[in-house]
Amino acid sequence: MRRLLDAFVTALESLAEHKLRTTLTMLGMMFGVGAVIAMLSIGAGAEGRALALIDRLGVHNVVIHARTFKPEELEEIRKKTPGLSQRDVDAIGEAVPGVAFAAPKIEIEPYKVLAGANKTIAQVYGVGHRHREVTPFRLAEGRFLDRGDEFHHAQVCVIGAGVRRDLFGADPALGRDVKIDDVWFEVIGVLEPEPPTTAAVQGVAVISTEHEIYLPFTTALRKLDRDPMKAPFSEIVVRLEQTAPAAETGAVIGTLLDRLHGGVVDYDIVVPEALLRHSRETQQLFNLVMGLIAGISLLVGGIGIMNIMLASVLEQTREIGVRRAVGARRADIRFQFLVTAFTLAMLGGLLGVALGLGIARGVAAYADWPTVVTTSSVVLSLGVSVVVGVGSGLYPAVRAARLDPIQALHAE
Amino acid sequence: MAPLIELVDVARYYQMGDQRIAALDGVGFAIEAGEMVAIVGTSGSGKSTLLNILGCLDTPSRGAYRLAGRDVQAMSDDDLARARNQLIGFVFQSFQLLHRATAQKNVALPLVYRGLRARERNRLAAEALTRVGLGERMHHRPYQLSGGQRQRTAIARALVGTPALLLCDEPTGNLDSATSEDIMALFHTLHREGNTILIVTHEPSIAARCPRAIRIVDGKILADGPGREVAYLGVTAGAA
Ligand SMILES: Nc1ncnc2c1ncn2[C@@H]1O[C@H](COP(=O)(O)OP(=O)(O)O)[C@@H](O)[C@H]1O
Ligand SMILES: [Mg+2]
Repeated sequence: MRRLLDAFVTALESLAEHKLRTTLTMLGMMFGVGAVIAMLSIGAGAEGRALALIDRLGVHNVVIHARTFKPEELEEIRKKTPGLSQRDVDAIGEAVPGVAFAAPKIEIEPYKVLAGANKTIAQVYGVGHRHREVTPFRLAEGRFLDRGDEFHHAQVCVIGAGVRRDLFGADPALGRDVKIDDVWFEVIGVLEPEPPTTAAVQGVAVISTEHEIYLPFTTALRKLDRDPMKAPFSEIVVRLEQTAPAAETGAVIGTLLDRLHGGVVDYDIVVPEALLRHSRETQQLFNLVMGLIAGISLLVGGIGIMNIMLASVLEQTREIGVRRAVGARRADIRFQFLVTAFTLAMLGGLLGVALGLGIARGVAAYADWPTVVTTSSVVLSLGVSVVVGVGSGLYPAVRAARLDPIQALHAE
Repeated sequence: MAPLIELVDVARYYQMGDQRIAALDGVGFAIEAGEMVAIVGTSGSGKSTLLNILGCLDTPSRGAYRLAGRDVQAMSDDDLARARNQLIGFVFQSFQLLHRATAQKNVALPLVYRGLRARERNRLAAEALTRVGLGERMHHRPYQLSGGQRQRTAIARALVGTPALLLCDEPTGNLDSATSEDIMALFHTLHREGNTILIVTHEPSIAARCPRAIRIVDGKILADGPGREVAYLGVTAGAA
């Protein structure tokens, strides 16, 4: 332990002697480690975001999404099939094993949403009363749509926090009326506020609920005007039983819909669980590629260290001779050079960690991209840099230890 | 009691191409603890080669060397390092100080390899520097010291571990005559205090003042006796 401490102090002294050279060598290590940590944090952030999106789709769901077509194409398609409809919902619920239930969803683009003198822009959805079970909602006030609302085509709605702010400000919202296009709806529930995110996973929009309004789908079908060419349902979310295999059930649903739609594929089937697996594989590939790049940059840093260490063996030849003459063993000399290489790598690595954290913060702040610096990425890159550093110090250290003391003493 | 140093028919050959040079050729003598001996000879006579062997920096090609009763030929590389650390103190012509370290750190260097803690090393180094008259210059670096002060620092480094033997290779070779006198006076003082000192020199005047001198010529011992008698042997009149 004392030996290590002594060697460490000597290492710092000899590194301090050539500050510029030491700094340049450390920069190599620093950029290597910094790049690894920054890249891994960006990757981890991307993964986190993808997982959150997939989570909102629901890993126990299969989502069937109506495709959009050009009007002339749609005309042809509608001759063969009406698109996603109640018939599909019923058939999937009854015929496909492993399905708990299927919940329809209708997308409506209202031309106006207002309450009293206030207006807002909102996405309106007609959904079934079990919609809450397929997409996690948190209610801030009131209640969600229920079976009765659905059965009676009730003119009621649940509004997002943003809609509530725009239309009612600080006033109470429950029991008030909202006018969507030309139909009045009574507010029966308000959702909790959410941070704004907008993204799509394979064509399925995953939008913050802030500016959304939910109505019973029966009411939406009956009372709001929609393009008659459009399929009755924009989306059917199929909730699977806990034990049902998602990919296989998705395939069975595909076969069923193919028959029901007369072979016309005017829908996409999205299996979030498969997306999740896919996302994990992508992430693994990303990590592998990053690891390789990181490895190469650290190797370059290591070559820098080896270069410097070889140079200092040459420069310190006389010093090595003196140390040997006063009693240093070969092992002591070897150890000294290894500790110096280690110190160089470690200092470079620590600076690299700081740089990586800085880049990750910067990317998060200015590029609005979530970054997650994981402990494992820090430990990994530091560990690799130290291994590379000591590895590159090994050959110079062995060379230093092999020097003949007499010749070393008489070196210029 | 066995002598501190015992050389029996020691030779050291260097291979130069297909030629074999005998830097030492059948050297034998013994030195008792407490002696002060000069090894005197012209340049190239084999003095440094002999000193390196005595100092466990090199091993003989032939013959036997016993240091403090131990056979040096049988020692491993680590044993030799330990012997240098504990039994021997070197003083070189070119001082061989570490330029970035203070006098104190330089003097403390041998103690690093004895595993002493820093505070103890610094204390002993300060003591050794005081002994050679450099107590005031402990925190100077070599380039801030005069030649004589540098050599005193080197002598302090040789003394700090209380070795059995002080080996000096032309210790006054890089110094002016007045400073040389001071350094030689220091060696004589150290000798009176009981240290065993071996000084390699090409200057008969230095050898003449040592109680004992060994004159070597072409790797062989020409004479071994009181300094006054041996120092000028074979030196052409007027050369000294
Ligand atoms: N490493 C070496 N390789 C070859 N020859 C050497 C080596 N060291 C010394 N010699 C030769 O050995 C002889 C004695 O050298 P040395 O002991 O240095 O003499 P001195 O110190 O008395 O001047 C010289 O002829 C020198 O050239
Ligand atoms: Mg010599």
